[in-house]
Amino acid sequence: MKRPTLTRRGSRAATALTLFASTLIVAIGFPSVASAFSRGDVATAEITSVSLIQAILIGLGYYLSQSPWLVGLGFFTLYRPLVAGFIVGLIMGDPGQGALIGAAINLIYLGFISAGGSLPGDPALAGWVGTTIALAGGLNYGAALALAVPLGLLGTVIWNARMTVDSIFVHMADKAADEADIGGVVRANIMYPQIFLFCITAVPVTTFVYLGTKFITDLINGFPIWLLSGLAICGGVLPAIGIAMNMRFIFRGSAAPYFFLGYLGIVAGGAQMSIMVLAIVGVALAFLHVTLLGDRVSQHAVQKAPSGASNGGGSE
Amino acid sequence: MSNTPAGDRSITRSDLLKSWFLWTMFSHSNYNYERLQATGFAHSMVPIIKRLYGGDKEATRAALKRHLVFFNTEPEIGAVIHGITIAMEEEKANGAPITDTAINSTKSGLMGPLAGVGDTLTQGIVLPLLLALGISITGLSTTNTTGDLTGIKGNVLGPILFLVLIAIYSLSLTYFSFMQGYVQGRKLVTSVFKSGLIDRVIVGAGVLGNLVLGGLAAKFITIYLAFDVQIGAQKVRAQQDFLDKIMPGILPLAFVLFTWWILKRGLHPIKLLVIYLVICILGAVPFMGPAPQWITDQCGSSILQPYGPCADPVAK
Repeated sequence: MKRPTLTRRGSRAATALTLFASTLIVAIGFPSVASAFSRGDVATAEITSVSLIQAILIGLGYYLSQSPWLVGLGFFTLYRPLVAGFIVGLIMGDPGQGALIGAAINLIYLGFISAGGSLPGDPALAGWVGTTIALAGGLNYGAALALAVPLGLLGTVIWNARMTVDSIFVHMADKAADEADIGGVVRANIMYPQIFLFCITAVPVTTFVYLGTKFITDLINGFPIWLLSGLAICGGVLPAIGIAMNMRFIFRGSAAPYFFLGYLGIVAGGAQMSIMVLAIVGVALAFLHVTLLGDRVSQHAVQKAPSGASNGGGSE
Repeated sequence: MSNTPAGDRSITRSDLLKSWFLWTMFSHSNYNYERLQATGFAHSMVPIIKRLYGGDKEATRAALKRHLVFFNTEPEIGAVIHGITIAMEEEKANGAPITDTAINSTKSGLMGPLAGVGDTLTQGIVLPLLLALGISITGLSTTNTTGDLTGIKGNVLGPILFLVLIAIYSLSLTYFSFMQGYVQGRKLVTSVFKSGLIDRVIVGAGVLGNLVLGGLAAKFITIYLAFDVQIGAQKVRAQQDFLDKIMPGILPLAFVLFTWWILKRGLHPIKLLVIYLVICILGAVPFMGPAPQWITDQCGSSILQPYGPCADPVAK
């Protein structure tokens, strides 16, 4: 229950900014310098431009993913790149491919759990903006994933801004409570923070998507072949982080061996073996495991959340 | 509630429903570093306060201030706390000797443990599991081998199914926790924890989660070494002639375990994403010799290879 002090908050913001700057340099600066030296004649993919209305809808979608207006379900639905990609696909007129790109981006953010007010990376920004750019530029799988990395980092800056500024509205709620003003407390919980959230999510995303998509897709499509194949390699490597983040939560105790069982099941079963089949087998095995453990089950339960959740827990 | 003066000082079902709805919707509306969900909690108590202390300015003021203290829990299972708090407020309003401290210590005592259980279950197991199903239904794995997403249509059933299932899970669990918390009070928490039901659910879900996670790792993590080793007159390809002979897919498995281990030691996941991005790009650099083609027919001079192992050398 330790509250972050002002200095801790400051250093957190500083770390986030440094991280962000270094990512930008790595993900955009370094490749563009490299491409300037070794640009070959690469056939650029066809680029669909993003219209203003599409950009506004995408910005609105990103805002809704963090706002309460969908009965509080935004965090579980629109916040996930799988759903975000699908909806961006709908907006851009290709839901099937949008869902596919969203699914790819979702892989690297699979286990990104937000607990105790901290957020390791923002899947939503990666999902909404990443899918838009990948869809508009016809990027390949690896490039879409590589693009999602700096975006997820940029999202934490937005998150930190929101979490810091929203503290002001708590004091407004305090003042309203002093005067027994119920409406004031409600306004402090909904109106001011949501107006602020709209300003720091919808507005920049719309602007960025509308003005920046062509620039970034041009940049990536102009990469030399070796760099593009480097991004393609990323497509195979980066999902390891999303999966390992999730393993941090559940890969422990007597349930851990099932991870290897699932892995070998897919390797042995090849393309025929789907995750759905595995899940059905998993339900049977879970039942068997719990039954066989009997009364010893409480010794095997995983109730200790990883370090991030130690300051009081809580989600989102 | 022995000396209850019956009448307008009791909570109606519609008050409970309103309060549940306000919590579900606005729990994270004003999420902030200072007091996290404090205003969200106070907002959800508004219908209760209006009913119990309506017209009494001093009591309204005290109640609002009472619920504006630091609060943070997992919104689904944590809704038990709201039910319990409402029950306590109702008794207090009807003259039972319940102090502010009693209410506050109930809230702060329960929010930590419930957040631990809730985050493990919701964000650690259920959400990734449903996402995994959604991703696999979308059909991403089939595109992984070519890396080119353009022109391939994913199955939009994936995101839609995920959306529906997670909405049902979240809403029903919050409703159940909230109402049961009100009806059964504190003893609900102790009895459920003692009965081992939660342990059983978490262990079982952990087995299922591990199995599916292992499958995901096998399906989506792909690393191909591209270099040959000259041993005497014989050329040994690192991937096919050595690693795959030990066990197919041993490299991705070792890689995801390494990632899990390094994340467990506390490296920030976004930092690791950036590190991997750099490694992949460096791995694709043709340091000596010919630049790689999109799908090479033999091992190039780079360390890593996109889209599948390099094939047997073509006979000339």
